Amino acid sequence: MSEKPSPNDKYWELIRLPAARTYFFIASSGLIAASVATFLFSSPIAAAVLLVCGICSLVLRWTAMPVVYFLSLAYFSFAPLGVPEDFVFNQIPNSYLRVFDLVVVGGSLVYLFAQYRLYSILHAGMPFEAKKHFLKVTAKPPVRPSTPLPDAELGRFFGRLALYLIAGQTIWFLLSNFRVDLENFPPLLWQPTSEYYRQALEGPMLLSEPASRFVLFAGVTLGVGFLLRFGFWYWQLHDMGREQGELILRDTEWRETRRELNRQEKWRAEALDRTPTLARPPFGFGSVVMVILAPLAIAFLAIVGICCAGIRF
Amino acid sequence: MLTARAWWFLFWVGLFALLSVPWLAYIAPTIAIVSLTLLFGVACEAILFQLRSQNLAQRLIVERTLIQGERTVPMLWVGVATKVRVRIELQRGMPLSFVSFAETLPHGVSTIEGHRRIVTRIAVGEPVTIEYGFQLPAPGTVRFEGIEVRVADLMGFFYKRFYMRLPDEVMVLPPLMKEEGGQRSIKRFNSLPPPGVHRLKRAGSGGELLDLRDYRPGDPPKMIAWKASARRDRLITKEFESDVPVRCTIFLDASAATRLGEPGRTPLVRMASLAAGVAQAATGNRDIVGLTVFDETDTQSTKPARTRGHTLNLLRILAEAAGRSPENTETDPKILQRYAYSVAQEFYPDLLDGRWNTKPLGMFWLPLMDTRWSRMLILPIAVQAIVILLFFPVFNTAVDIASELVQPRAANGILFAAQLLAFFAVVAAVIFSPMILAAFTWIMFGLRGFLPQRRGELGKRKQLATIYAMKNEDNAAAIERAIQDDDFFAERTGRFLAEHRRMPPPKLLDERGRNRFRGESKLVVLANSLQRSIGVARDNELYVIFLEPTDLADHLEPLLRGVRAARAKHHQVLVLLAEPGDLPPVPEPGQRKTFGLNEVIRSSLADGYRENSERVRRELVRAGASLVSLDAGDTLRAVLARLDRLRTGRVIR
Repeated sequence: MSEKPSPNDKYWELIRLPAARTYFFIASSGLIAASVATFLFSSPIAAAVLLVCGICSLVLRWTAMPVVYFLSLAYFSFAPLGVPEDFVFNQIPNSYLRVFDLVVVGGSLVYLFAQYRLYSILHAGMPFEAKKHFLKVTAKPPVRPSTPLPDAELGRFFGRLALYLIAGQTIWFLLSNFRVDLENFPPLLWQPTSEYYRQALEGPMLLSEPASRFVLFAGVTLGVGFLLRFGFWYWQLHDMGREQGELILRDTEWRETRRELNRQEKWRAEALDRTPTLARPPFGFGSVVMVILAPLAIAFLAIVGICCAGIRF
Repeated sequence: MLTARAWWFLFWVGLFALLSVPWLAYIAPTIAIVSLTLLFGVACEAILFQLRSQNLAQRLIVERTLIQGERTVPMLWVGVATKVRVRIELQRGMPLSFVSFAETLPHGVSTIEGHRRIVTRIAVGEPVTIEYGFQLPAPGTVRFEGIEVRVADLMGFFYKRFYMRLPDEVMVLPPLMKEEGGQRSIKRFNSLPPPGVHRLKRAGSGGELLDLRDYRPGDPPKMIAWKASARRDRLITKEFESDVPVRCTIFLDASAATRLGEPGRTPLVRMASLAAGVAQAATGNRDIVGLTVFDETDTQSTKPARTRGHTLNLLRILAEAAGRSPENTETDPKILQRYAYSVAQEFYPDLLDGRWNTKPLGMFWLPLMDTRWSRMLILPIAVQAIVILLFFPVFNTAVDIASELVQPRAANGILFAAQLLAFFAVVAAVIFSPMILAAFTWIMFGLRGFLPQRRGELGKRKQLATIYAMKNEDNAAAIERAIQDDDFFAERTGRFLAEHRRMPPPKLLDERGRNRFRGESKLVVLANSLQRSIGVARDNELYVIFLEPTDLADHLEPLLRGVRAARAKHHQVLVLLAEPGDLPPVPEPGQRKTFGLNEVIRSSLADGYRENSERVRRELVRAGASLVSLDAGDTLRAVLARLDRLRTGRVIR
């Protein structure tokens, strides 16, 4: 008879399972880097809060903690000491490639991505398909096997994160230096001069800096999203299976002829004198209430209102 | 595609990106950069996941192999350990780091070794294999549905599930019995006839003495019993028994009543297993064996023969009979739809996708004119409107009311126009008020179709109807018919559920409270088949009838006529009555002290069943049949012993 597993096994799994151990150390290092940078460049309170969030998520596996970490990071970016005070306004076009940003963003990226991979190994890799009340109490969601990681996985992981880090800085650099000017074509200006500003501000077509960044951000996101969606949709249609194809043909045929078919079925049902069905529910008490009494009540109230209030223009 | 984890993460990161990129970045650009970087990272991961998992079903090759005794087999045997090996190979495309494959176990089968689910990584040239084993307890057919595939990214942000349908109906043959011929090894007679030859207690040329009689001229001298002749002082001749082959015909009851119960433990499965044993034992004795499977309407007969191929054919037919689905007694389309939709969600998730299997909004609108009541409602309103239009004073009344309410006398042009418009609107509202009320009624009635419960049910029904049309190769008219016609939908849904072996619980009683499955017509079918068999019979026939007798005591006459006819021609009839598997034992006198309602109902039903069974038994014995009850456990040996006695012509009741 095997021994009952100790609850402390939950913590030892972090060290015992090879894949979990690897991502635990990676996430910890990212968390420490972000916290140290915050401690040095921002405030010790912010660093401590970030560290606590990270420990809760890594050791106690509180699944909301990565989001709380991000919210804490956002909050302490505005109020480093925890209390909002006099804000210092930054020069946006020059706010890229700063050491503090690079370390904090890089550390946070490493921590968050490694943390979620760790959840996939230890907590839940895939969601349950069934609703909760259909599941057994002891049911566990599928997790990723905690075998030693393939050699190439960590290389790809860090490579991608480096790419994201550089891409994030590049996107911010482009967003903060491009301006939307609807009078020109293409409607984008690269670092407009102050002379240009003076002339253009008199016209309504040059967007302000925040509006310009918002339009660029939203436009690029939606545009790229639409293109990707279209591409994948076309690919899906191109490689569609036989059954899906047959289903689409039948569904399209039904949609195009639905009204005629519906009429035929009604005639058929009348000829057979069938009882009401789901598609043709009976004219029951609910119908009487909703269809007859409600309009009559509304009409009665309207007449009473008109007569009593004596509405006049 | 997005999991809850990703939704939460993206919600907060996206919100902060939207706020910080334009405005908050002036105070803290770090958060704008963090948000943008995280959004970009998640977007890249999403694209990568989509590239890996798009159309994955078309890129996977799945092969299933059934192995028994280290050999690949097309059909299975009961009682032999079976191994299922599923090989999954990625044909092309990028590797998937986190994928779960799960084979759906056939209904009524439980795994005994190995795992039918595997969570792994798959790449081109690196096939994945699932191996698990089980043992089938009963003959019939098992249906393998396919493989459930679930793919996720390594962070658990993106997730896809689809089902690779790989339907395979495999026959499970009854076990090969070891009892074959076992009865014949016991020496009970002077001479053991050669295989396939049995003693018949009629005068013939056999080796066993039947009787002594007076000498008749022409009797061969060697048949004279000299000692007996000397004792009696007259010539006495010996008569010997006949040595004849036995033709054994098995009748198997496969009516709806026999298919009730837990899968693999129904009376039909038990009877088919025993029938397989009887057939094999008879074949082992070199007897000729035939088989007739009957139900309420039809029979399926196989002529008696003796070859090995014929025996295998009999086993196949028995397995087919044992694998018959229980009859669908549920006619409520809502209940059927609930079952069918869960089956479709499990096995056809891709075909329930709203992109292919659409639910246009227009289909939920309820047309008022479809109901007869509505016409009666609309008619007086229309008549009233016409009357109002015909009588001129109504105009004056309307104008008076409008003048009272609205007086267009403003100086401003636009305001005057508005007042004029309002004036005529009031006039129109007064004159056409019945029409307006009718229109409002029409709208309210139509909008009822969009109420959540009906909308959900109708949408599901339409999606199921499209899947049925696709599977049955029907056109679009079948979809609309399934939506509009409850009976048609119920029939299609029953067929769909039977195909996937997921039937709703049967209703045992009909509208009048009688047993829905008594199936008295099967006795007529059986009697006709028996009469046909007697019509072409030879000397020594043995009829083995497997019958489920519930509530048949009052309808036995056709069968009794058949049994009497068989006995009149000196054939033997053995009837094996199947008892329900869950019949409670007869309580000892004074054993029951307390009575719960359930217990009372249960014991009352059991008593009724026993009484009916006893009447059936009595009638059949009176008609000359031998009886065996298939009450519990392995009764094959008892059945074979009884058969062996019947073969010799000695009737033991």
